[in-house]
Amino acid sequence: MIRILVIGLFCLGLWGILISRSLLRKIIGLSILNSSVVVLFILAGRLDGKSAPILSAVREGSIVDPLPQALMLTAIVVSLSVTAVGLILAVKIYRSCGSLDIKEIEESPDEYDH
Amino acid sequence: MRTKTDMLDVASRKLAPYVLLFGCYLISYGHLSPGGGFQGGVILASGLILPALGCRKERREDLLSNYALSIGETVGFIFLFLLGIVGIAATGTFLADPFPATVRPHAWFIFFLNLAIGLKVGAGIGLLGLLLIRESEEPSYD
Amino acid sequence: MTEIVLTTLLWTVLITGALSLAFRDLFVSVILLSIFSFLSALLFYVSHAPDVAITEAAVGAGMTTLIFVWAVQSCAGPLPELEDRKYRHFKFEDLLDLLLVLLIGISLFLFLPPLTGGPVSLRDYLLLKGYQETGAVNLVSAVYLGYRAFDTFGETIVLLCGVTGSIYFLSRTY
Repeated sequence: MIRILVIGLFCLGLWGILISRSLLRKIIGLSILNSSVVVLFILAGRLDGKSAPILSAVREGSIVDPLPQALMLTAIVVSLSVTAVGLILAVKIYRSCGSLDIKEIEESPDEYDH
Repeated sequence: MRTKTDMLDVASRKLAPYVLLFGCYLISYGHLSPGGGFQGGVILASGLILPALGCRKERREDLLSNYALSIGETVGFIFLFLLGIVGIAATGTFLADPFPATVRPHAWFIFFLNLAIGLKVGAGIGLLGLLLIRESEEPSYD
Repeated sequence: MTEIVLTTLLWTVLITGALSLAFRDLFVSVILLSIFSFLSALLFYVSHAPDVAITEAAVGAGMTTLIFVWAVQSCAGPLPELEDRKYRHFKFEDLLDLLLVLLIGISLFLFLPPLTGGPVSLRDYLLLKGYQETGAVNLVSAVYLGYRAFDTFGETIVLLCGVTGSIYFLSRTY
């Protein structure tokens, strides 16, 4: 059940990118896509252990695997960088083409005003 | 925002030091409890952006100018790079722990790594936020 | 018991993500994305991952929402009318998109490896030797600052490039 839900979250983000007309909504879909991969790794680590990977707080038998958590810290920061650059580029496109709609951006004439 | 009242200015300026203190706590206790360089760095950036959201544009660079934050980010990255070089000088591997393992293990190297990463991330993301706020109040397109 | 809690939280995360993509007003979508980040931070906390929970809450519900709100405010224009009128026509390309997403979903369901039952030797080694070799009580810090510090260095470079690129694109003259 958890597997189906995480795959559903991934497909939701992907479908959001494909079907949206507005550029900002595509970036919202991209952010959901990144978050779904992080959720997958953390849940895969969690289902095997019983307490947090901090040695002063271990109560019962085994701890949760700390390696996926360390990898996902990197993934969250990379997702922030991608979203930030994407949003600033989207605002630049809006200021030069006048609209955020993908069809109108594709049909707008090329203008270079350096 | 069209009108920034004095109450918003005072409230955001008075709440910011507690956020900055919490960020410094997360960075320094990263090896003992959940936290570390990235978490504390992002919260430091939040503490830098909070007063900038409330104050008027003449006062935004009163605490730390944009140039100072840019220098801070560069210094943080160079400090992290120098810690790696210290690892090469001591053991021959980049970013290796240079202190030999004595009777009790200590976490000096991880502490300095956390400081460097926290400084770099906090200054970098804080600078980005401050530039976004400046951009929204004085738009650069014409 | 924990399966029920995880499944419930995961359902709320999924529903918030779907609502965030469904609303026509962009500002509402952005605030729902912030709630999505906060609920996934809660999910990480329940999954015994406090480091990741703090990072997701600070980055997702803090910084990403700030940049999104700035972007939505900068692009304020005749947008609700656009979403209202042109959104309802269902074309053939939308059917192809739906088929592609269903194909990817079904192949992921068939070929994704199972979430439990993986090798546990690394976890047991870290529980025994992690504190002695790195000195960190927090084992996640021991991993990403002690054993795998290269990845952290690369991540710092990625963040530096991202912030530099963003500031470059925000500047007035190229």
